[in-house]
Amino acid sequence: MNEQRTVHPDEERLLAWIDQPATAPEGAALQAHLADCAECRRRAEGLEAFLAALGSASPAPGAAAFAAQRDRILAALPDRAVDRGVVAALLGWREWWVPSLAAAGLAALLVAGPGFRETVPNGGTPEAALPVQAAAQAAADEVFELVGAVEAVSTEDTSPLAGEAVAEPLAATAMETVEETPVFAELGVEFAELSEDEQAAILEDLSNTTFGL
Amino acid sequence: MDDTDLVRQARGGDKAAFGILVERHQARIHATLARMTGDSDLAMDLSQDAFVRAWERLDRFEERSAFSTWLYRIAVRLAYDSLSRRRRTVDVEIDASLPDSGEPAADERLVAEATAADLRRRIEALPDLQRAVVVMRAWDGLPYREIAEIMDTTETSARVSFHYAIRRLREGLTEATSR
Repeated sequence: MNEQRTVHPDEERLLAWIDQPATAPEGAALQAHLADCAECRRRAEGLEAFLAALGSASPAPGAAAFAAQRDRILAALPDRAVDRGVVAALLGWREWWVPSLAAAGLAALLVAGPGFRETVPNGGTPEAALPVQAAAQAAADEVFELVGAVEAVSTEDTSPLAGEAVAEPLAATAMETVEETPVFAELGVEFAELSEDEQAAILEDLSNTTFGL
Repeated sequence: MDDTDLVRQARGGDKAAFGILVERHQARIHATLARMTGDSDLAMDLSQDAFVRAWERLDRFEERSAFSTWLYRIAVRLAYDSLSRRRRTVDVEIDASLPDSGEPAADERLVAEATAADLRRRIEALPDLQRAVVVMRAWDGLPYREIAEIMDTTETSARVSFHYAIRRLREGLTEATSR
């Protein structure tokens, strides 16, 4: 005859379950066991009581002590050399507009590529498209340079000099780049004027790119 | 005004705005550091250092987490480093004050007889990592992932440290109350 042996959880498992019931290994089985086993339930309750006692073992200073501490902290703060609001804004928006800038640069490169040269608007020949390609390349270089400079400001250089001399013009140029897509303006065309195939090619390239510059 | 607005004003050099942030968070930071160090006065000094450090590093705060979380990390890390330095320079006999583990007594009785002071003394005697993890997990309710990040360790290590610390504390109290 098969006799089923009851396995009682050790302290480690009980603690893991009390600590994080949702993620404890075999949590559901353990909960079912606790429902049936008074001894283990008592052990679990004891552990819970212990953790509660742990939480009450800490003294706290009074309000006067905290007020005095606040004054000491404020007195110890060094002055700020410059207003770094622009750098702060750059950091806050970095995740959004750095990829946008990268997208603008990639669009410029795509437009400058051989596919576009052969289908330049207004029925132009490949030779006639060369200045357009050069302009697009220059625009792309400018955007990529901008992205690199912005990355440097965002990740490393947050010095006061960077805050004043670099961040502000970068922020202004970045916003202009994103909002007005100067790449297309410089080429004398608008995205909407491109053929559906050209638009699709650009969008596909951009969507397939992870912007890992 | 919420913390985010105050942080942005403080970045511009507004100390009064930062003062409001101090008022909002100083009690919690102090409580955490007091549990970690076992010394309320030291916790006051360390939390003061943490706020000054936060002010100096406000430009690096990218607002990916709440200001309170970012500040908490600075404070805990500061306290942990301070404890580690102290341990290296002062020979602390940790285990001498702790009895060997004994048969568990009834938990109800254990809890009833454990004084807060005794528990604090035993928490202070835990190794630094265990103590920090107990404070962050048992009091402040941080997930192991976040604890691991703050302490530069793995989630498994944080979990094991917590379980080991709780077992050690309970065993010590059990022995003390069964004498």
